Order: sequence, then C-alpha cells, then structure tokens
Amino acid sequence: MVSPDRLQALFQAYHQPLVRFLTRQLGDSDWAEEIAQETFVRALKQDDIISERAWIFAVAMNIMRDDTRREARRRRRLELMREEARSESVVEPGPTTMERDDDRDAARRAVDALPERDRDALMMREEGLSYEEIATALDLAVGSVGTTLSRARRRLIEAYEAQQVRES
Amino acid sequence: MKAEWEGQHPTEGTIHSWIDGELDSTDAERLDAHLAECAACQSRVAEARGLVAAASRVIGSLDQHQAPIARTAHALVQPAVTPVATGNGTAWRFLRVTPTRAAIAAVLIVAAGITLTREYVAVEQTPASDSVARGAMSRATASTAAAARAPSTTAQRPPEPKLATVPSATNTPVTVAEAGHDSVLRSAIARRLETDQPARTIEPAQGTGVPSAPVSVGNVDRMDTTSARQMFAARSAVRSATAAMGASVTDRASAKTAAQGPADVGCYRIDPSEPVPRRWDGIPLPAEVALVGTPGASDVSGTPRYGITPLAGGNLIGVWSRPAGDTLFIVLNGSTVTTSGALVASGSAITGVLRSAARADAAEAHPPAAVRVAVHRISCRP
Repeated sequence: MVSPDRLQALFQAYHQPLVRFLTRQLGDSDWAEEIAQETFVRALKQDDIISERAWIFAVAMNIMRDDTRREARRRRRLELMREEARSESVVEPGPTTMERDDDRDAARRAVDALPERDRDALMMREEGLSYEEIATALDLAVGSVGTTLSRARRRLIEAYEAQQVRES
Repeated sequence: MKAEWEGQHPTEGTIHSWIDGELDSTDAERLDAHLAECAACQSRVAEARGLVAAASRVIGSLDQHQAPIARTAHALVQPAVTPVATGNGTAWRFLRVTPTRAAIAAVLIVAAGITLTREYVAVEQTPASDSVARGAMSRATASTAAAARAPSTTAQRPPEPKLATVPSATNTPVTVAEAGHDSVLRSAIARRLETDQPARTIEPAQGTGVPSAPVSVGNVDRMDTTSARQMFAARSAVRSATAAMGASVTDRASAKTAAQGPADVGCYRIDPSEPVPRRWDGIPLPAEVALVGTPGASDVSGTPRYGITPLAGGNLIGVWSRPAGDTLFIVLNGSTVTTSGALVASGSAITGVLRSAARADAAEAHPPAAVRVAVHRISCRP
C-alpha cells in the first residue's frame, strides 16, 4: 500500500493536471473531480507504482470509460432536454460570450470526432506527459507516439475547421 | 525516440517528435543536419509547428467555463437566465441571426473598410519618383487607371479574400465606384496622413508603396479576439495541412519554388533594436515566430503571403508578405495593439521600422509609435 506521504506527493503533483485532462475529455469539472478522487483512492491501495504519472492517467482513463458507458444513456437524455430548453428560450448574452461558446462548442465537437486513442494521446501530451509515459498509459509502442500525435493534431484541426465551415 | 525516415526525408511523426523534443540526440542531430539543407522539410517543420500550436489552442479553448451537464439539467427547473422572448421569438430569431452569422457580417464589413482605407492611403501616398513604390503599386494604380477608363471594372474585380483569412498587406485594385465615392472617408484619411507624416520613420527606399497606417487584422467590433486568433491559427494550419496532403515532398518543394522563388517558410526571430514602448504590451518583442500557410499562397493581387504564429505559444498572430522583391511587409496583432511595417532584406538580416496603433477593439486609443527591428531566420528546433 502506498504510504500517505507518497500519496500526498502524488496528489500535489498530478491532481490538477489530471482534473484538467478529465474535464477536457468530459466537459464536466464535477465529474472529472470525482474520477480524479477515485483514481487517487486506487493509488492508495497499490503496493507500488512504477511510472506514476502514466499509471495515474491510465487508471483515470479506465474509470472514465467505465463511468461514461454507465452514464451514456442518462446523459443523452439530459442533452436532449437541454437542447429542447435552448430551442424554446432565446437569451441574448453579449457577443463575446456567444463567440466563446461557439468556439468552445466547435472545439468540443472536433475533439469528440477524434478516434479514442488519438484523443487520449493528444490530451496527455497537452498535460505534459512524455512519449514514454503516453506509450505506457495507452499500451502503445514508444516509436508510434509521434505518428499518433501528428495524425491526431491534423485530424483535430481538420475537424475544427469543418465545424467552422459548417457553422458558416 | 528513434527517428523514422521515408527515403531521405523524416516522416511526419518524426518531425512532431523532434518538435516535441522527444527525439534522441543522435537522430535529432541527423535531422538538424538534414533541415539545414532541405527547404522542403523546413517547410514541413513550419507546417507541423502550426499544427502543434493550433491543436494546443483548440484544446485550450475547452477550458473556457462550461456549465456541467448535471447543472444544466438542474437549471431547467430553475433557469439562471430569464428568457428574453418565447413563443413566436424575436426579430433576431426571425432573421435567424446566429452569433456566427453576425461575426461573418462584422468581418466582411471591417475587411471591406480596411481594403478601401488601404487603397486610398496607398494611392495618395505614392510619390511619382519612388521606384519601389511604383513596383509595389503597379497593380493597384494600373487597375485604378483602367477603372477610370472603363466604368465596368466592377465586373473584373478579383474575388474577395475568404472569410477569416487575414486582409492582404498589399494593394488590391480599386474600382471606379470605390475611388469616386466616400469623400468623408477620403478627407479622414488625408487628415490621418497629415497627422502621421511628421512621425514617419520609414525611408522611401524601404517600401513606401506599403501603407504606413497599420493594417488591422481581424479587428471585428465586439468579436472575441481570442476566438479570432484561434480561428485564424486553426485555419492557417488547416490550409497548410490540406495543401500538404496528397502531394509528395518533392512536389510541394517544386511547387513552392515555382510559385514564390525564395523560400520564406521557416522560423524567425523579430528583435527590436530599442526598448519597446509600454503600450506595446500586446506585442511581445522580441518574438520567435513561425510562418504558416500554403507555400505560394497569395492574396488577391498575387503576393505570396503567410500567417505568423508564435513558437512559444501566446496570442500573437500576424501576416508576412512580400509585395515587391526584397521588401517584406509584416503585420503583428497583439491583444490591444496592431503593428506593421515595410522591412528591407539585406544580406541575412531584414530590417525596418514597425509602427503601432491601438486595435480598433482596444479600450484605449493612443498615438502611433515606432520601433526599429531586425528579423533573423532561426532554427525551428525548440
């Protein structure tokens, strides 16, 4: 079992990037926080952790996938309700806010359009994980991480551009 | 990480690994040596840098505040914002004015205004004895003269730049309708010139054909400038990426050479030779930047043009174009300041003066200021 001191150190080092990573994936900071906490609880139960950052991100992704599958149906329903509510009411926030919302929504859709592995690799890289850590977390060959990232970046920008064109 | 090569050139994955600083030292040295000699791969590196920066910005935009879905569901019961209209909807709704459409309209209006302003400034500033100006202005003046002879030139007007591309730093033809109308605008420009003239520091030989008034990029009234930058960066990267796909390295290199002659694509450092005024806070100089864009891409007048993106992140964007020979025109946009200038290439250095102005959407206006800069090519290696 990991000592409380080490857990504290892990938490200090990785909690914030992990929550950001999960929030970017889920679009929900509360949910991200829950998964991050569950991740650290699991870390506490480990005898030893080698390549700790890769381990933490990999475990968090597994929890997120399980949660996502479980919650998918409920969330789809909530999304429908939200869209319905949007269409029935017209609010006029400032244009800056609207633009920002448009931009974020386009980014969200572009990220969601990526294949899972590409998305995970890209998000991990954005959190500063090394190629070796990404390879460990995603069970990839280190040599293929560069190719995965280059493909993911290109696809992301293409999808983002497609969103912008569609909105135009 | 070990590098992978396709024949003599590194794979795209290898280039990204190199940019990410993940290539082992031996392979990095080999790639360094290759890049020193291969213009095509320098171009690919610049494109890849654009992709890396654009992808990072897109992902970063996910961090803007977003209401969690669960909270949104809760808000259905107790809405936080009072609906302004329901049922039949407002006139805005009737007209289907969405934020994006409103932004497009704003961009078009501002772009048209910028183009008109630039034409008037350029035409009125061109001294007859200035050969550089004659070269840079030849297309515009020829078009204007032709327009004066033939009122039907409106039909020959080149297509407008695409939405969200950066307005050209060079001159576009002026139609009779544009040149003959709007005396208010003309007199306003004349006043502006009178005001600017004593402070001019750009020598005639440095390209007076280029307007001294800073050209604003994406100055969209009330539009979020961060969004505009992200959109610009993303679109520039996509254009590069799209152009790159389906074409072999050799094809792209030869196309670039044929289209623009000297290869501009690469990374540069913009160094001020004097302290930058405090009000230039939005323009972080010195700045290390990469050029992004399709090799050989041009504005409506055919001038090769690239987007400028910072190597180390940040919001700085800009335009790099060569209106004539050794004259280089740069526009840089910070958060509150736009700066521009005509620089002259001499040997390995490019020097000149950048002049600043507050962005149209900046809260505070201020008089123009000038800073002499030198632009040097640098390695794209992080």
